[in-house]
Amino acid sequence: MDARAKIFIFFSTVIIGVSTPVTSPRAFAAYFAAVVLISIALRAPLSIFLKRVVVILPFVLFIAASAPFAAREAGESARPFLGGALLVTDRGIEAFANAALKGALGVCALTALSLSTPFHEMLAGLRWFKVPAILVSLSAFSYRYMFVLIDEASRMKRARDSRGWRGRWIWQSGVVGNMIGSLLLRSLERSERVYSAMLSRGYDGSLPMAELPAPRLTDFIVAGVFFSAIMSARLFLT
Amino acid sequence: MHIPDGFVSTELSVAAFAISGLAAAVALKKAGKDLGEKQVPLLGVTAAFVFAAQMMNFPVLGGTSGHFMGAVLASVLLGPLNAFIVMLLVLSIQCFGFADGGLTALGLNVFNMGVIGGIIGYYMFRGILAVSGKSKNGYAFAVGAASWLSIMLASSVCAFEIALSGTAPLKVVLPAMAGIHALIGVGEAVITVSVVSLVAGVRPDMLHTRIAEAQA
Repeated sequence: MDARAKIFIFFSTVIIGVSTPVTSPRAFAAYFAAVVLISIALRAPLSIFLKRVVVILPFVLFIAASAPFAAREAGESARPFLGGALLVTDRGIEAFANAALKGALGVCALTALSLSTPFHEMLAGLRWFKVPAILVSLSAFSYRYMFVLIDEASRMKRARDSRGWRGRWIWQSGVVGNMIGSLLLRSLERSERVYSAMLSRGYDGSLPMAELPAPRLTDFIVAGVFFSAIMSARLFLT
Repeated sequence: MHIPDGFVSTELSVAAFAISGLAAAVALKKAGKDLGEKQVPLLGVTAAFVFAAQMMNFPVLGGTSGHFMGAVLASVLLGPLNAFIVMLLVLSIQCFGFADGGLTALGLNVFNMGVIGGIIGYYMFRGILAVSGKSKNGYAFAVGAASWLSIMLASSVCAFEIALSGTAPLKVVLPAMAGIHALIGVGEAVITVSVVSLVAGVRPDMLHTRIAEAQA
């Protein structure tokens, strides 16, 4: 599927989802169903979905922990929870549901987009949506070298751990500082070598980007159907 | 500190997108003028470096760990506006490529870590440097103090944003965020100081604000 169409449908899902009042669970069920269905159709591996959703869990649990305290500030009536050990209010539960649902929807939609779209296609798509060219070529460059440097960092970590380092306390952070320092020096020297290599190959300040092929009729149909489904859930299920 | 979707109100998101967008426009224009064609490899590789360095966890207490942010490090190396661009790149790639941080919260995340961490962090560093003296130790102190302050400021502002949006009450979210990050900030400071001293010893030409220049 065309990258522009995917950017359009997933971005609009997030924006429409965030604008939906949390009191309409049917609309959110429809959004999640739509994102899961299109992810299956786009052959995005569902197991990675769950892994990425776990990323926001600590944040959501933190909000959940603060929900009972919301009551006393507002002076609302509170219900006992956990045998009266904690008090929860409707406002607290609503704040929790709001953050949890929208946060999870955002993670699912962006995960579906990133798992189904190669990064260079996503950048070409964003370029089409008028993201400045310089930002797009900088991102392409970072993404290209990110994995090189992550590999470098994990080699350094392996070397450190195989020498028996076990950091447990904050004053041992200096070791990590030295590692990050060496990584930085290697990175900066790499950027100088890369720059000379690029110059010698005729680099003039702009990175050529691959053009996206013209969208096909099915792209328009799928994007149109998906968007109308999300929009009608927003309008009629709230 | 990556805010997901749905945690902040629409008004705050829109305002943050406006501020971050303005900062991005200014920074990109300035970078184009100052660095020219060399900016793409330098800023691109530095952003990739920050991304990789954020994967190196440092120990905090009894086996728990925090991770590095790198905004003040980038600003000491490259100056405030370039550091902003580096953080903008890191956060955008984390959002679009790895679903880390919400799409509608991207403006806020860029504000917290790029504007506060990179730009304000840099001016805190220069301000402390002016007071802490021109010696090598004074320089290291300014780097460390600015790193710690940048983490504290960014996390506290993040707590205010969440509280203002009504997601969690301030008296819960602020002490929690500030408390955790007071420790994480120490790790950030230790790491930033050791990285900057290493670079100052081996490749002093790579530092935007050189020790020699600060002494002059």
